[in-house]
Amino acid sequence: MTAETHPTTAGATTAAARAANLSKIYGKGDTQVVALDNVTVDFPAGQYTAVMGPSGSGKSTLMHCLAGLDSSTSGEVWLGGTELSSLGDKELTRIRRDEVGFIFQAFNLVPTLSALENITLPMDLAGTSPDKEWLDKVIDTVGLRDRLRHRPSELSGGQQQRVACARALASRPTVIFADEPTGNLDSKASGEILTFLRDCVRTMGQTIVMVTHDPAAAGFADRAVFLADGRVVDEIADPTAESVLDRMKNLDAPAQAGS
Amino acid sequence: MLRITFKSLLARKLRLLLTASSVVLGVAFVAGTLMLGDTLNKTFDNLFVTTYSGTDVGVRGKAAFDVSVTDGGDSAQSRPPVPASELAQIKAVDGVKEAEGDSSGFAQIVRPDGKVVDTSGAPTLGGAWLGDTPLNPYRLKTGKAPTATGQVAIDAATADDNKIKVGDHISVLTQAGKGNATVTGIVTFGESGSLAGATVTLFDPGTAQQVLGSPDTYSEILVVGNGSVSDAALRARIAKTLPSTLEALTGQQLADKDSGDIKDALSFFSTFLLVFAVIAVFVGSFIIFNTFSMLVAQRSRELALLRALGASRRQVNRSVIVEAAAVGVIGSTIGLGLGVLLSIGLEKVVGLFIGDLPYSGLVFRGNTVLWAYLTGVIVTVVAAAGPARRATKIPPVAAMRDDIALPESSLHRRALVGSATLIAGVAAMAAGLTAGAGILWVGLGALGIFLGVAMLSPFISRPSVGGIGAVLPRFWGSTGTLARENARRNPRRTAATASALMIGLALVAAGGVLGSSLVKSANAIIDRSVGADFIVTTKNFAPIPATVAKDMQAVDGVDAVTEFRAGQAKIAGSVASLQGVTSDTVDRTLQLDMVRGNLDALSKGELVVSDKLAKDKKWQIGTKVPVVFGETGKTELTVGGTYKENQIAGNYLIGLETYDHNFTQDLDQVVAMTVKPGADLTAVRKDITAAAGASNLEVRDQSEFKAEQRKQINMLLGLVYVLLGLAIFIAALGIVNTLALSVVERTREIGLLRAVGMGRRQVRRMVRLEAVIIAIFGTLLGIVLGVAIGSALVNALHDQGIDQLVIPIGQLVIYFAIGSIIGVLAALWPARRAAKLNVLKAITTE
Repeated sequence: MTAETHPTTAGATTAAARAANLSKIYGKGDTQVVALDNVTVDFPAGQYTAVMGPSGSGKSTLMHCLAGLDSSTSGEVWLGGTELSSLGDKELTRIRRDEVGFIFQAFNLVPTLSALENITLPMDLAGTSPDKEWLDKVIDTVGLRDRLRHRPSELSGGQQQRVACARALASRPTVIFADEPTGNLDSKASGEILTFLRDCVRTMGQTIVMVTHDPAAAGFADRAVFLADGRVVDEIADPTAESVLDRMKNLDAPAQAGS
Repeated sequence: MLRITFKSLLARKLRLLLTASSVVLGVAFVAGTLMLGDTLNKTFDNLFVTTYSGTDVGVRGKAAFDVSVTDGGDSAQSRPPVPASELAQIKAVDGVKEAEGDSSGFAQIVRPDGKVVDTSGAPTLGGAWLGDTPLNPYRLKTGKAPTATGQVAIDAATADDNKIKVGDHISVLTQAGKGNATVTGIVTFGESGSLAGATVTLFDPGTAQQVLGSPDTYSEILVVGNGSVSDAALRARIAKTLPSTLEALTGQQLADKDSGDIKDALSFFSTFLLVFAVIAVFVGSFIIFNTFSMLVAQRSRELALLRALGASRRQVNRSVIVEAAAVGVIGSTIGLGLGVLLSIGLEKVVGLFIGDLPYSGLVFRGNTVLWAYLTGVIVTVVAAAGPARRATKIPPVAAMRDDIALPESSLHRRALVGSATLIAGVAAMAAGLTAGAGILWVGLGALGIFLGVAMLSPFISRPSVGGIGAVLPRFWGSTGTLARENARRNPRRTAATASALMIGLALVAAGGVLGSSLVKSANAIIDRSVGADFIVTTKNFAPIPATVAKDMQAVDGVDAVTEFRAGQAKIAGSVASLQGVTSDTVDRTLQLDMVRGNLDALSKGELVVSDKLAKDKKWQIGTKVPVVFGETGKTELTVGGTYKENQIAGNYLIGLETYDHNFTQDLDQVVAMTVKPGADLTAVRKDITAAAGASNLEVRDQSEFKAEQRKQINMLLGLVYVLLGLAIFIAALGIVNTLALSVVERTREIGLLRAVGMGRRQVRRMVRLEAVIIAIFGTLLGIVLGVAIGSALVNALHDQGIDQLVIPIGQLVIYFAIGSIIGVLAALWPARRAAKLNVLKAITTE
């Protein structure tokens, strides 16, 4: 890892996405649940970050807030140069379409559209035509050229996730958010997808934020951020499956300084 | 299991309401129609009970045949009048306290300002003031009874509506012409009532006899007994004294008979409305079927879980059926309530045709309730039977799996059953249209055709919808593509939704073809056979006093004047309509292609008939045909000529002399005239209009006459369209329902689309376009089917003179536009719902 792709101190200027004092509280009074508790975290451009944490740690909520899918209770969310918490649905839709790429655990593709149509969907919705050269490159990178006319139901799970990756990449978003992208795949397909994501960061300079609870998946990232009880409790640079697993075991222990 | 069913039912109140709505509307129509029928029946029962409330026995002519009231027959024409001489004999019968001769007939009131009182079709009754006896159903409200010619009493409702007071000078049109009279009294019918929108003019008995009937006859003799014997016994005593042409009936029998006659005439309206109720229910059943199919598909995981936990197939089946029955009961209950309101509205519609009716309180019988629930529950359960059966085929293992595909019934079987139904429908309709099997078969055939096409439509829905939607991506990019693909992804669902709309539009289109063809045919007939320059008719087919024709004849520039009178008689064993025409002028006002003989035969008292009829009956010139006239009895008429089939002439023509001899009422239906060569048409017209005097007379030239025919056909068609609107509305609800359920089903997909950047407007547009595609598919199917059915109908009516087939392209384009707009409107709410979905919740939905 070079310092270029892995800045140790992430300033607001170089961060592709950033949460500042972000809190998210569900419900009121006795039933109140604090999903995010004053989280401040940066996701530098061109970096592959894994957000780790047990169920209920707030990792998904953090991603939803960063991606403009959910609103925060207090604090700021920056995506590129835009602060999201004051935006209305129209602007958020535009942000999601133009600035964000999504890869979900499952149900990533619109079943009625072909693979190619799924890939170009965000641009079609925007009414812009895709950059042909870039699109070709993306399609070749995911290796789906001979499957472009197929419907999702005619593709394997791994192929479907590759189409989802291609869609996320095609519009060259500021950040790609991946939510347990390998959760539904076997280990071979998982390995392919994760390698592919890492390559995107390395060769294309894409910023990726991946939520996962799988230490092996986190091992592909440049950096792992750990959440517990709605707080960032730790982070590891250049994680490996072992170091992550090790850290996870200790998550129940009191949070240490170092986040 | 039952508890689970009801819990799931209540958990989705909105869905329940949507599903029930199609039941609600159908049931409301059924219940409303039944209530209307009962209410009308009660109205007329009351009317005649009042009429004969003081009468113990009535004597009148025996009906020689049953007139067809729906064909414009008048029951008075079927009976001979009672000779005035009978009165004295009846008075002498032991047990008779009082007897009076009553005269009734046509009497139209002309207000002091010269305007004719318009009853919009309700009768204009004339009668005799029978004095202060129980036989008189009228009571004086103000003023005095009429005692001499030139005095009349009129009913209070007419007096109020037209601001006529005691002492006013009015005119009265009767068959004897126009007479001036002073209103001496205002009367009520019974203690306070009016007469179903009719106007009543009462004369002193002598004058009544003169102007309403003939001087030596009565229309009825009414008798009140002295109480020494029962009505029945008194009736028997009186009957013994009567000649065979007369009969005696008790007051109760008279009331039953007269109200029965009217009820028969009105039952036509109820039947007519019930047909539309059946259509509405039929369309509703498609919606219910579709809804339950979708519900079962959506709940397949839940049902599989129940199966995995030990529920039997029967229990699963029953749970769906019970849910359907519950929807049926709820829908029927609301429908019944709505039916009450609807029946009040329908009464107004009926009022347009037969005049305002007195509101005698809604009749709500147990039968109505029974039929409402039977219809609602049976239709729902039958429609849900298929989906319920399919629910039982969900394997328990589906509960563990992610990809649940509900087993669909084989398309092969569907194709087979659908084709068979379609063929059976076509055959039934063909039998109804050509083999004379009757209108019921035509209806059953249409039902079969609709069902068959609906079953087969999934096969064509995918390519058709793809074709219809092909332009969408060009205009709306991927939103358009998505809409098209959504409409294509479940052909059965799209087809069932579209089929509901298809039925309504098919009927509308068939009506359009039939109506246009009728108009064109009628115009062609008028062009071909009307020789008259001017035609005088009245509003609402009220009769015209014969004096009008005489006045016309006197107008400078008028040449030939022909009177046309309508009547019914039993000719060669069956009741038929005939026309009496002015013998020596009819050849100029009505252009008939004579095949044999000539029209001079009319003045010789002979019968002139259509050639087709003569051939059917094997009549030659000179054949003596037995004819029974209601008022004068049996006679024979010689066939003196035959003419090529003509709609205006009808089947039988007789001379006016023959008509007058056999019918009491001298009233014209139509007066037609030609103008002398060289006369100034505008000036003559002005003079004719002036001579016509009465304001309800309408003078038209040929082109105006044509326009009037068109107007009448279009008015009838308009009413049919209003009634079909209900079926189309239900179909639109079906689209709403399908889309709303589709939106629920695709929540996650919509969430995904929103997540990758679809805006709310785009979501709305996607749903809307899908609705429009479905609507256009249904509309096109309907229009094609409707044009085919309409053409078949026109073809079958060729013998009735409808010999011009017109496909009204312009109208069809309008229907098409309406169909598409229905799609847009139906999508409003589901599209809003889809657009409002919370993105995060939507993508995380299980």
